Amino acid sequence: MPHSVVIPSNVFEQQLPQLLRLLHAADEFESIDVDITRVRFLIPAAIVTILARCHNWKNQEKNLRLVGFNQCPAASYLQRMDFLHHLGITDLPEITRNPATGRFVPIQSLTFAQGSVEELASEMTQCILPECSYEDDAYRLLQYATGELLSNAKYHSGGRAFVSAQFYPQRSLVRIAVADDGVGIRRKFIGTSREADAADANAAIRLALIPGVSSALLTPEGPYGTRNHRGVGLSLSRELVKGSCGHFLIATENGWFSEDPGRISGSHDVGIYGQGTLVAATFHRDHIANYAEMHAKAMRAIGMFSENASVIFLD
Amino acid sequence: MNIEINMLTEFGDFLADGHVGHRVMSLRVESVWDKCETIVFDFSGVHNITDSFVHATFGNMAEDHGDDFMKKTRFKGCNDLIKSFLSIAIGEGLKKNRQRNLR
Repeated sequence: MPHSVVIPSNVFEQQLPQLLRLLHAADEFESIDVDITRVRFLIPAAIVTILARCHNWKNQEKNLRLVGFNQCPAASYLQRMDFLHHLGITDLPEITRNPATGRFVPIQSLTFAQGSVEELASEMTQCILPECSYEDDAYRLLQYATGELLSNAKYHSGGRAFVSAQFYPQRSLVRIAVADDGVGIRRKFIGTSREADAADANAAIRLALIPGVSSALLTPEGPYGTRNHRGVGLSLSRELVKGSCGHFLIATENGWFSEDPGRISGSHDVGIYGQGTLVAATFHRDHIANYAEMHAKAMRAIGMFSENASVIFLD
Repeated sequence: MNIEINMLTEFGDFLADGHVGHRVMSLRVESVWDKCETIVFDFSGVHNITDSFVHATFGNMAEDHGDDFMKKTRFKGCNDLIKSFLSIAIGEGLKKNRQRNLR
């Protein structure tokens, strides 16, 4: 008999630990039903987390079924998000696909070998902020943050990453989430000089957030040098989220790091024990006023604004 | 020998993937570094950039070559944002180069 994972009706940031525990509890079973009958609202972090886990189960050749789609109040939304497509479900004849419109980004995926960080980040930003030009502060910041998070997933996860984003105009929130089915942050430090500092998942998260620390020793090296990563993308993205009074979250294995000015923040064990990594960033668009200033402040916060070189600009 | 790298043609109008940046710069620039007197990086048409890209490419190059980087390289067509990113990353690279030489 299959194990049933009943997805909660509403999953916001606060319900993510519960969702991660539910998904992890199914890991030991060979047949799994993902029941979405009750689903009304999922933030992007929830959707990509479910997909990453399902992808992992499918890679393990487990029997996976999606249950309750026809009863699901959010069926149309999930359909437009390409949730079914990424689950590999194509045999539901009663479903009529609607074109993707509005302020959400249908789920995209990328791996080390497939997908352009730049193209994906630009497409996502245009989709979330269609009225903005590339010179607008909000556009530049979101393009930057999406690019950094995608790059991080592409080169550090070792698996397939799923990404989605949405703009909620009533609350002026932009949510971006990347979840992968890779090895997790702690395991990426194994074999590097910082392995001892990443003894558990929470320590590994804290290490990954230190500017200049990267697990990239395990990634392919360039022919004329070895330092193709600097370990600044995650820490700067976190600071930019802070600058917009937003919410920043990392979950990997049993590690959980959450930073939110309005709620309890910190790094702790919430008993999730999941595979892969979830990174989610929520920005308050109304708080994005001057991207250059926000970026400079973020650089100072991580100690990388010590000096400007006298670079020769020809114009 | 003087070379000019058109960043828009090489990478597009948003430069984000440091891994790709590092690889292309290694092949196009580092491979001929010693033969070059001047290397111009043309950012015309580039709108945005990430720290991962700028540090993996120009930060590393500045760290590897130190003062020689400042002598040889020129940048054109940069908007104010890109100028700021470049100045910081190159500054960090040069600082690391000096620290490395002190050891």
